[in-house]
This record gives sequence, C-alpha cells and structure tokens, in this order.
Amino acid sequence: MASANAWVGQSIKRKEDRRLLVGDGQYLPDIVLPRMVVMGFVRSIYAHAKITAIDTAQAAALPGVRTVLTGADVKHLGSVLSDMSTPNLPGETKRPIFWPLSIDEVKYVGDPLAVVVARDKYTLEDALELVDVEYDPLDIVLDPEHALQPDAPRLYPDWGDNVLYHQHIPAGDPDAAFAQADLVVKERFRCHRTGGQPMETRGCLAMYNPGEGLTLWLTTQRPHIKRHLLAEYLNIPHSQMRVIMPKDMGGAFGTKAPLYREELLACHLAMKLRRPVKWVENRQESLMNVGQGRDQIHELELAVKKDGTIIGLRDRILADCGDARTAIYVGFAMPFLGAMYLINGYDIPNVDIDLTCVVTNKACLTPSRAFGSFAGRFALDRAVELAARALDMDPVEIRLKNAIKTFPHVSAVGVHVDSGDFPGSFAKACAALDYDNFRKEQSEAWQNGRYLGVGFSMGVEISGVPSEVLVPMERQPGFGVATVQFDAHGKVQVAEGDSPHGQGHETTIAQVVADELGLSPEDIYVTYGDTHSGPFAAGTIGSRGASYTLSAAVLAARALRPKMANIAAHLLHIEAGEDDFVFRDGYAILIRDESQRVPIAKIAEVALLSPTELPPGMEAGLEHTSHFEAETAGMHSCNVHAAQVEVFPETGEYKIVRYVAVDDAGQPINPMVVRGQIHGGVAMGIGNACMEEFIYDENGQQLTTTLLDYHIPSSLDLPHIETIEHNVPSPHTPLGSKGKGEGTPGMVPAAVANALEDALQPLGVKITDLPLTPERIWKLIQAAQSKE
Amino acid sequence: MYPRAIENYFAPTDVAEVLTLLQQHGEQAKLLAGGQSLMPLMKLRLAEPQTIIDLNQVAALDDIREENGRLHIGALARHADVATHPLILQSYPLLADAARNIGDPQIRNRGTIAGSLVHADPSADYPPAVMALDGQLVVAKADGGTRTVALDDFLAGPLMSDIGEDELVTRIEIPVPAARSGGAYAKHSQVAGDFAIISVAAHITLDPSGICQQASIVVGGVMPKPGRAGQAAGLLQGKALDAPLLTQAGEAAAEEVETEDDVRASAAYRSQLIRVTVPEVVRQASTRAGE
Repeated sequence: MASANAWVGQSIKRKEDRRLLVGDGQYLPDIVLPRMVVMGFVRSIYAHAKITAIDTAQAAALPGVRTVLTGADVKHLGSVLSDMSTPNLPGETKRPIFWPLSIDEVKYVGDPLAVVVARDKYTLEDALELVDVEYDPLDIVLDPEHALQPDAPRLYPDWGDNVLYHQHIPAGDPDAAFAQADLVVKERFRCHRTGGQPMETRGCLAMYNPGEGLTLWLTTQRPHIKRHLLAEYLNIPHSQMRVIMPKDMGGAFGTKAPLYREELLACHLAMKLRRPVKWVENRQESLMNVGQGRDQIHELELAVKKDGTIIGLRDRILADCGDARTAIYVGFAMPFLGAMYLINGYDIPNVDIDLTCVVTNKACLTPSRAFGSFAGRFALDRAVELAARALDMDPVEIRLKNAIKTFPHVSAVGVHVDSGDFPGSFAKACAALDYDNFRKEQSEAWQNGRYLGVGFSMGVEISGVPSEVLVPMERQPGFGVATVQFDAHGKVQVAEGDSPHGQGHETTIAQVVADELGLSPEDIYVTYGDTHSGPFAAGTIGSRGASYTLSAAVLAARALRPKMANIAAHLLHIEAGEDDFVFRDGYAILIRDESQRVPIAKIAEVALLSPTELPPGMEAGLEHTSHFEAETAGMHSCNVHAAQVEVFPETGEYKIVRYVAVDDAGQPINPMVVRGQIHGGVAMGIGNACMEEFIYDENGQQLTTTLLDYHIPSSLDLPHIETIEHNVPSPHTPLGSKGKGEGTPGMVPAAVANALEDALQPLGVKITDLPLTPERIWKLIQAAQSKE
Repeated sequence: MYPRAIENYFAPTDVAEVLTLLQQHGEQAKLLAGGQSLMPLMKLRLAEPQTIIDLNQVAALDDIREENGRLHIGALARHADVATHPLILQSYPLLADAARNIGDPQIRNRGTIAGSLVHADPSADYPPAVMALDGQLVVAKADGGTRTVALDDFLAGPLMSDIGEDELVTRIEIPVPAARSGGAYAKHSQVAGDFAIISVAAHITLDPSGICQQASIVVGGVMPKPGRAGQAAGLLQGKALDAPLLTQAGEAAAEEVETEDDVRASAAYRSQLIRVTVPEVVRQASTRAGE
C-alpha cells in the first residue's frame, strides 16, 4: 500500500538554498588542488584569417609559465568530432574537421589558437599578451543569406558550399492545402542571435595520474555523456575517466551541455604536465563563445480557411550556426529540433518545412533554454496572429480552433503529445486578464491616444525526450535513473546520474521519496554529479528531471517496500506482506492493527547494521536502482501565456503591464519550484525577446562581449510575472509530473510581439523581427505613418 | 580579466600627501577612489598603471554641505550618499535623480562623484546633471594652489577631462539655486542602470508669476560630451512654460544637439528621444520650481 504522507504538492523550502544564500555553495572555482596550474587561451582577433606565424618564445620564457601549445602541438589528438559526438539526424550533414586549437586558420573572433599554462592567473594573462600571432585576413561571411551565395567566402573549402545541414520535412499534402486555402498568410520573420548567459561561466579542473587515470571537475549538465566522449577522444579506457560536476553550478541554460574544445585541452595538458590544470572562463570569453543561440530566418506561409482553420504550413528556415565547431550539438541540433517542434500546439495536418543550416564566421550556436524552438515559436504564433487579423477573428478564437484538442496527439511531423488542455488554459488566461472587458478598455484608450494591447502565445514544451527518440538521434538514452539506498540509520540516499544546478532536485526528489517510504524530506539526501558514484544518465537537459529522473526515484523507492514489509512482519512476528502495511510518519504500520508498527529506522538498521535479525535467507541491504522509461514517444506540457502592454508611440518604449503564464506541470511536486522555473523562463524570454542581442560589426568583431553591452534584464526591467497552474497529469509518469525547465522562454517573444502589435493596431504596425527594442518599435511606427 | 602587476600602492591620509605622491609618480599613477571605472579598465588591461594612489583613507573628502552660497560635495562622496542626502533631496533633486540612476546598488555604494566626472563618459549620469546646475570642480595642484573650473570646460571629450597628472579634484561646487528653482533628470537606457542612450537634465528658475527667468538644459548620451541645448533653454526664458512652448523647446533641442549612431541606438532615434524627453523633464523641473 502507498504511504500516506503527502509531501508531494507542498511548497517546502528548498534544501539547496541555505548553503547558496549564506555563501556555502561549492563551485568549481572553489576547488584548489596541490600543484595546480591554470590555463588560458590566445584567441583570434580576426573573424577569418590565415595564421601565418605564432611566436610563443617570449611567453614561454616568462617565469611562472609551464607550457605554451599551439594547434600544431595538438594535431596528433585528432579531429574533435566523432560519430559519437555528432548528431545523427535525418537529412544531409557535413562534419567540420577541427582540433582543440585551430591550426593554420581561424574562423571567428574568439577562436582558440594557443594555450598557455602558468602558475597563477596574473602570470597567465601576462603570458597570453606575449604570444605574438601574425594573421593574413581572409574574406568573411556573417550573414546566413550571404553564406548561401555561390560567391560567398567558404569556411570549409572542401564542402563546396557553406551548408552544414539540410533537411526537408514534408507531411500530408501541403500543395493541395494551399490550393484550397481561402487565405494565405506569408511573412518573413527574423529572430536575432541571443540565448543563455549563466552567472557562472564555464570552467574545469583536470587531474591525472597513471594509476587512477583522469578526473575532470567540470561545469556540465551531462557528466556521464562527457565522460564517454572524453575517454573516446583522449583514447583512454572508460575506467580511467571520471567526470565530476561540482556540488553547485551557477546555471547553465543549455550552454553547459556541449563538449567544448577547452575541456579537451585541460585533460590533455593534465596528462602531459602531470599537474592539475584549471580553467575558469572569463565573462568576455563566455560572451564571445557560448550562449549564442536562436538566430533564424523563417519564410513562413499558412494556408487558412475563412473559418480560421489552418490547413497547411510551409516554412523555409535558415539558421545561422556560426562556425559549427562545438561537439554533441554542432550548431545544427537546435534548429533541427526547432523545425520538428515548429507546428507545436497547433494541429496542422499538411506541412512542408525546409531547414537549411549554414556556417558563418561567428561563434557556434550553443543550446539555450527552449532548445531551437524560440525563433520558430515566434514566427508561427506571429503568423497565426496575422491570420486572425486578416479574418477579423479574435486571437484566442483562432488559437482554440487550431489547438490540439484530443490527446494523445501525434503531430503531422511525428511529435507525440500525451496530455494537455488548451481550452482550459485559455479560459484561465482570459479570466485573469478580464479579457472581454479589456477590449472595451482598449477601445477607450485608443480614443484617448493611449495604446494598450494584449497578446497570446501557446506552447507544447518538451517534458523529457524518450530513448525511442534520443537513441537514433544522439546515440544516448532518454531514461531516467535513480538509486534509492537506505543507510544504516534509516536515512535515505538517492543517487541520480543527472547534474542539477538550480532545478531543485535535492528538494523535489526528497519530497517524492519521502512520500513513497513514509519518511520526511529531512530524511532524504540526494547526491549527483560524480560519474563514479551515480548511475549512468543523459544529464540535466530537456526538462527531464520532473518527468524522467524523479519518476525513476519514485519507482526505486516503491521497489523497496516489499522487502521493508517483510522485515517489519518478521520483527513483529506476524505473517504479513507489502499490502498489509502503510508507511507513514517514519513507521511501517500494520493496517489491520495500527498499534503494530516498526520504525523504518529499525528496518534499515536490521537490513544494514544487524543483518542477523533479518528473516532467514534474506539478503542484507536495502537499495534499488530503477530505470524509468515512459511508454510513449513523447511527453509534453501544454501552456498558454499572455502579455498585456502599453506602448508609448513617440519613443516606441513600452511597459509590459501584466504577464500571465498559465502552465501545466502535470502534478507539481513543489509548486514554488515550478513557479521559480516559470519566473526564470519568462525573465529569460523577455531578455532574449526584448533586450539582449549578440551584435557583430561588419568585420565580424563581436560588440557585446561585456555585460555592459549585452543587456540582460534585472528585476527592475521585468514585470510582475503572474503564474497560474493548469495541470493535466501525464498518464505516463507514476505521479503525473511533467518537466518545466526547458520550454518557457519560447512562449515569450510571440506573446509580447502580439501584444505590441495589438496595441498599435490604429497605427498599422506589423512586427516581424526581434529583438523588440523600443527603437525598432519606433521605426515601425515611423514607417507605418510615412506610408499613410 | 586580471590586471597587470602594479609597482606601488599608496594609501595617503591627507590631500597634501596625495599631491606629493602625484608629483613623484604622476605620469604612471592612477588615483583610486570608488574604482568603478578604473578597476574594470585595469582588469581588461586597458589601463596598466604602475602606481595606485588609493584615496579612500583621505580624511574629509566626502563632506556634503552648503557654504557661502554654494553646495560643496566632497570628491569621495558616493553616489548612494548623494542620492539620499537630505540637503540634496531638498534643494538639488536633479542631482539625487542622476545619482539614483547610476548602475546598481553595489556601484552606487562605491562609485564617487569626482571619479565619475573625471572619467568623463559622455553617457554617464552625473555630467549632464552637474552641468545643468552650473557645477564647478575645485582642483588642488601639487604646487599648493587650487583652481576652479566649470564642468563644461573640464569635460574635454569622451573619457577625456582637463585634469593634470599632478592634480586632484577635491570637491564639486554648485551655486545654491535661487528661490523658485527646480531641476529634473531623466534617462533612456536599454536596461535599468545602464549608460544612457539619451539623458536630459534641466534646471529652471521661475519668477513669482510663473514666468521662466532662467533655464538650462543639458543632454547626455551624445558625443563628444554632454551637450547644452542653449537655444531650447533660450526659448523658455521670459515665458510661461505652457505645452506648446515645451514642445517647441524639445524640437529646438533635437535640432541643436548633434547625435551619433552607436551600438545602443541610431542618431535619429536619439534625436527623437531628445525631442520627447526635453519637454517632460522641463515640465517636471518647473513643477518642482513652483513647489
């Protein structure tokens, strides 16, 4: 029988927060080892150039410098990308050949071409300045459309063009759909380069000895995946490769999922020098190299019937992937998934999506929360808005007409959506906004020269990705895994293979396990991050914590109950099994006579400290590992967001007066943690959609390499975010829970853009490009007025 | 992001000592006050001083008081002090507005007014505000003398100011405003606490009947340094500040203050912000003047 405690659903305070708030967090830069040296990079100052000479003599001669290597010194390690570290996606893929340091040619500003190892960071930076590099600049290509031109400069001359990846995704009969359409909406949408910028930058610390092999402390979302890729690349036995994500990591947002060239070098240098080698990326390097995502052009067409039914979609997507020299995702895995998720919550039967991913002389795209779909979500929810306007239809009505209505649903391109309720979510969003009255208020405001607007977006967000999808795509499993293990004192260690870094696993896993075992979250401690002590798992990515990992913990805890009941019955000298006991308040309690009870701590003690008291023949110990795999090809969270704005047309400035997020967490484990995920996701979405942009000048110099120039919003720049639960439990997880980390930012750009355009209806403005800076809005108003 | 090694670090306790050190090390020395510009520049190795003269132990350099018809603000007064000082809130709200707009709490707790003015960033908050108030800098010289220079003249261009290697700004002086004066400051920036795309400071004196006797309007966020909108201010003088006049002043300011494109905004957008913001700021200043 299930336990009777109900920690699930309670907003208990996070176990993680005490140490984080008082400064007891344990981050990578806090780790110091004897004989440790530090590593830093000489990076290209040109966007594209031949390296004609590198003089390292002066740097190498500086006291305190241990070594200086250039590309030639690491060529023997081989090219970084293998079959294991390149996505195996349908379509045509080209694979760049490159080394941890660039050899002969650099392809973006920031490209690492030499590495210096020194005794301390001051000496290191002195030495980096002494490395003298001579360049012969080459023609550059920065614009993805230019990259497609036959005469465009080539990043990889042997390719014959700059196309990294191409994929055509057809479904149904789009030509017939467009022939039958009463209305065709056709628009070009552009989403700029923006993404994630975690508070803690990348970093690693590699230590080697020939006995144990290599240990790498690494800021990573995926210790196990990195481990096997590193072992493969470094050509060392898997048993000699250990990866540890430190206890705490200051965010990742996708940027710490790839395998990076710098990490490979730290390992190589630790082996070469027989000293621990540490690297902590500085903010400039971070802004130069990671977190650059989105960056797509969509030429999108919708075939619409006059009742608002969308019967077809065509989209030509062009993604600017940068130099494509980052392992695992290689710049194109994100746009691919974005294309697969393009139609998202809309039930559109006839589809023709053509995705082209090109390389340019910019940093490689890295994953950013909402993985690949931020741009497409903006494009589609904008196009739907344009269709509604053309048909004089309410934006909510057109969405409800086209939203997925029955679950499970398989989209035209094959995405499985298990559960959700769009009508219910829209109803809550509209009620919160007092939508009917808002339209009256809006008309009155227009008459008084004020511009108020409301905009909606809807989304189907990934809640983990199953093995069925991940194995063929990325050669890795999707299952969740957890080991639940009693200690001798009745406390429970849960070991997971993921590496949480803000998601709250220590709290939420403790809550679910406490319920399963009749304990308190205080009794549960969660460990993670070390490949030598946790089970193999794919990592903290794609909203798989609350969907997969936590479900594995539930199943593993449940699996202990028969043995616990047997031990309890034995101690009570009665005949009874699992169904005769309830586990509650720290006791195994006999249901038919509640006075008959055994402390769970006693059961654990017998299982571990005094196994002589176990039932005859029973194996000692009380632990179980479960691998959870959902019996479906896809679990999702279905959400509706709405923004209400006031625009000041003289300057294009605007205020997001309200932001309402109606979100589906299935069964929230800790509603406060869910709200935190949504707040963070909306904040990131607003930053990405409205303020942040990685800007390159005409020479390929990135102009936004400090946080003075790359504008991440603070609380002062953000509206109050109203979160409303509309939960539809997933039928495929033991508790009905769904992941909430990944998708939220993707909801934001269309909601805000639709609201701005709605407010400016009297001025006839059409928004097609991001970011939504006041200047862009002002220019659109100016252009609309000069047309009149 | 780690500075080059410095040869010398001094922490003098009085102005005379600072000046002696400047005389000895001036060419290679940098003065450290709040460090909000110097430290980032050193970490980026855009500044590589051999000698740091830390002013934070110098006594009595952070006083804020009125004396002989002038407000004295010590060179080391922190932005947070200026933003919250009762005397400044009461009589120089324009200055408090500007101070409150700078950076974030950490920056405001460390950054100093003289540091900001000497650094001379054309998009910083203080320069237009202090210019609108006709502020002057009192500069101590190594030879024992002092000179007083109007901020208008002191600011020479982007990150350039009229300060000698052997000189120290000891205080800022601002004339006590006439009766029925008021000022206001507003900034447009991409995120809160960022440098200005455009900022506008205005200081207005009204006569008892509400007619504008004196006006000054200064625009920040333009090159090479904050610009006075003299014609716009001239339009206001001797007139009642009604809405059409304010609109006219906005137009005039947008016309006379030259703007440039940069990564934050285009020249045209900057001009538009001037056009829109000047009337708003003047209106707020005149409201305060009437209070």
